[in-house]
Amino acid sequence: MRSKMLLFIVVMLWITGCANETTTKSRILAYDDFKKTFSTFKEKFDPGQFDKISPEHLAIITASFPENNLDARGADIIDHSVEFPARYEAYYKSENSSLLVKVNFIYFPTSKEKQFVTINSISPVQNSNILEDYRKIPRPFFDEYLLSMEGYLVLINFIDINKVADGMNDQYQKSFIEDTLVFYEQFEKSLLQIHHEVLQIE
Amino acid sequence: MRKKVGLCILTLLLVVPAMVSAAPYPKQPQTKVTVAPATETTQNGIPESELADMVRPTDVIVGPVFHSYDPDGYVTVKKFREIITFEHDNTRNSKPYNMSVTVTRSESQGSEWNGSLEFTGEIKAGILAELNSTVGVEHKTTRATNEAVGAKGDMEVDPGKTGFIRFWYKGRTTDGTVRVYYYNTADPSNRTYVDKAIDATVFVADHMDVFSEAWQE
Repeated sequence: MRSKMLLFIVVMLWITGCANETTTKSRILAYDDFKKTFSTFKEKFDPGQFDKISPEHLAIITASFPENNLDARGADIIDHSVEFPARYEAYYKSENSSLLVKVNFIYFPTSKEKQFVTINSISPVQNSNILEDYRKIPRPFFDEYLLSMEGYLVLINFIDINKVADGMNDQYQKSFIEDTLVFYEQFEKSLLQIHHEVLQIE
Repeated sequence: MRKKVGLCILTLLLVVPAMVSAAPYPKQPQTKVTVAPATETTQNGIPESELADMVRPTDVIVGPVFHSYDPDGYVTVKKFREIITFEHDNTRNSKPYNMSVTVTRSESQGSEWNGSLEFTGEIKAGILAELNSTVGVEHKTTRATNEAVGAKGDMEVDPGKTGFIRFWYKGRTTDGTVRVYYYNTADPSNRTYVDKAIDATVFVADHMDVFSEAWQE
């Protein structure tokens, strides 16, 4: 009798556990919601120490693909029209340094979670993947953050617009990175807030 | 026996919350209450919240209040305010590419006014109303054709080129005289009129009157 009772308790405890488990529904992000997320972001995001340098109205920029055997669409558009670009973009310029930032929102309904995908970097001080004889090839300071959001990707390009010069060393790189982090911190805060507001994701 | 009773109570304590949390939430009866009007109430075009600042313990001078607008003329400006730009890069393509776009009213952004003088919303509304009655027929025609289908633009971009389609709101530049008046609350019927020359470009924000250009580089 007691063992039956214990079994019953165990079963009920298991059911309780199941009841509290949240069911996560996967849903496809509608294009209009994607566009609205970007428009809201572009309008509201006003980072300190940076100027917004894109016009108030939308500039929709698309491109034809080179001849290829991968993709029959022919251009980076959704639904056969340049009215539905795969990507929206906005530019920002540092007030204190030569850092230029381009933020791209890319429609990508198969991305399902929020995460950093990778950070891609080019710089005159990053040499381990370049043969010694070629390490003097001038390169800009360039960082690229690729983030995955629910239904779209965010690609941030950080470019130092100073001409590449000999004095650009580790110290220069340090200040470049500091500037990118000042931007990113504000960017992420605003992105998460707008992402949740517009898409109403808990 | 006492142990059994104790075990039963323990079971019940565990089971009841489980059942409660498993049950769907009952729908709360909803009472519809209108809390506030969706848009702010205005008096003579001035929002009520601004009127609150005009609480007058003693008599004050009120104005300027719109009386009339006498346009000397107006000119249509094709490129008053940019709505949207489409740019298609066809430089990597060996074939022509067709850009075909439609602009809807939801693209509209920005201010509807660009003028030499700052006025209250009420005075702007008065000037707009006068302009609308002057050029009313034309407004109605464009409204019917443009709003139904949206504004369209087409462009065939050659291989190796970049194509552009840009849309602007058309504006109307007007010059003329706006007459406003002031009065003292002690004697509202005794008005002081002032005429002001204006020079402004306007468009009606809820109305699709657009101009577009397409080119390639």
